[in-house]
Amino acid sequence: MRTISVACAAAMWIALAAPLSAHHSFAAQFDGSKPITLQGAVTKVEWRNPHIWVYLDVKNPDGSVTAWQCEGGAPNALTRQGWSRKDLESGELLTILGYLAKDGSKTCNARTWKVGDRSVLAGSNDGGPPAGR
Amino acid sequence: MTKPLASAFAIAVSLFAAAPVRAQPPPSPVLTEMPKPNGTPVPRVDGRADLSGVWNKAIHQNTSRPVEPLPFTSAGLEAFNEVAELIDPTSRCILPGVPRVNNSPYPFQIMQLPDRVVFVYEYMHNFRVIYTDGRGHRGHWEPSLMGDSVGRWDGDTLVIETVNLTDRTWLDDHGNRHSDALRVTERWRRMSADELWYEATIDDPKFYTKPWTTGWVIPLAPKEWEIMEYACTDNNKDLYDGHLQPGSLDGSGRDGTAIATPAPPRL
Repeated sequence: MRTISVACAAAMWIALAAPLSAHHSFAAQFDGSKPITLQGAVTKVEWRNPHIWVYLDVKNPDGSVTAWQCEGGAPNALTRQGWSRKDLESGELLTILGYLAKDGSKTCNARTWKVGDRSVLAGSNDGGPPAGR
Repeated sequence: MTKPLASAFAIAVSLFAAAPVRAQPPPSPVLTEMPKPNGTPVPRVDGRADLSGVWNKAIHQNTSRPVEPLPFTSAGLEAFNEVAELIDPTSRCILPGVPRVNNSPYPFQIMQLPDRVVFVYEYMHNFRVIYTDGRGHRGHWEPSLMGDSVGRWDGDTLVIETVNLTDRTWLDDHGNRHSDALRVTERWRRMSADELWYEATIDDPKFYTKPWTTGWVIPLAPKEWEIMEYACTDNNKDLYDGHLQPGSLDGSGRDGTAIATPAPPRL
């Protein structure tokens, strides 16, 4: 899943081209050259400052399940855009476009996510209002 | 393309098509002079312009851009180059200082009273109470991260003088530095109904041979916006898990060796 996703998401990420300039040290933890697409069931959300964290179980092609954690955007900015923790805990599958952690752990930095038909540009390395900046 | 590949690609395409939900104009540039106001009427109170409101400031990562090269002293240049080895103090949740509190993200609220102007900043859950009743600086107070500020009105412009700052805050995400000799003169002017002009003069004889001035326009926030809680240390995994790295936050990637004396262009 991961290898496949990385391969095919790469082209899209060039198009998205969200700047990686960080208001915290994105580069210390994440690799901007390793995009990933994850889809899974949300198990926990930490809707807290300075950045939200989402935990999800991703089903692999072989049927096994991998627990991932992804850092998301600034909770205040997301709230002003009409999002809340309940949107992510609605039970619908969550899709995340993000970047992998450098340390090889199942950790990502979410740039965009989608729940149902709602999506948001949610770069966690952006700080303020309103569009995740 | 295999089936999993195709489905993942479809997900990526649909996400790309749908995002972003709410496009936002880019922040106004860093300037040295107030641009032309948009002509909407400036609200007034007590016979002067009223700065009150919730304002939606944006990050301005390099506040020295329009006045580069900066007039560094040798100590100032050394401090600037040292940033390559230092972690930005705001990454450790240290208060941003002045003027950085005004080029950091998140909205803030101004409440203008007859004898003082109160600034309530969402970022770092911070505040400033600026007296305009003619009092002077406090004198015996220990230097502090946000310093000792007093205000006065120059016509419709609020002028704030801040002294007694530490050398532990930075000026911006670019890693522009200041010493404990910094004196900041801020000028706040409501240009129009929905625009605020902010200007800061950096007078720091230890780090710069002459003062320099920077500024930008701050737009009024949407009417329904309120100041929210921003607790930098609440769930700051980047800080707690040791993921902070040295260098400036604006990604300029300078390593200190690229800067030559005495006053080079910035990377």
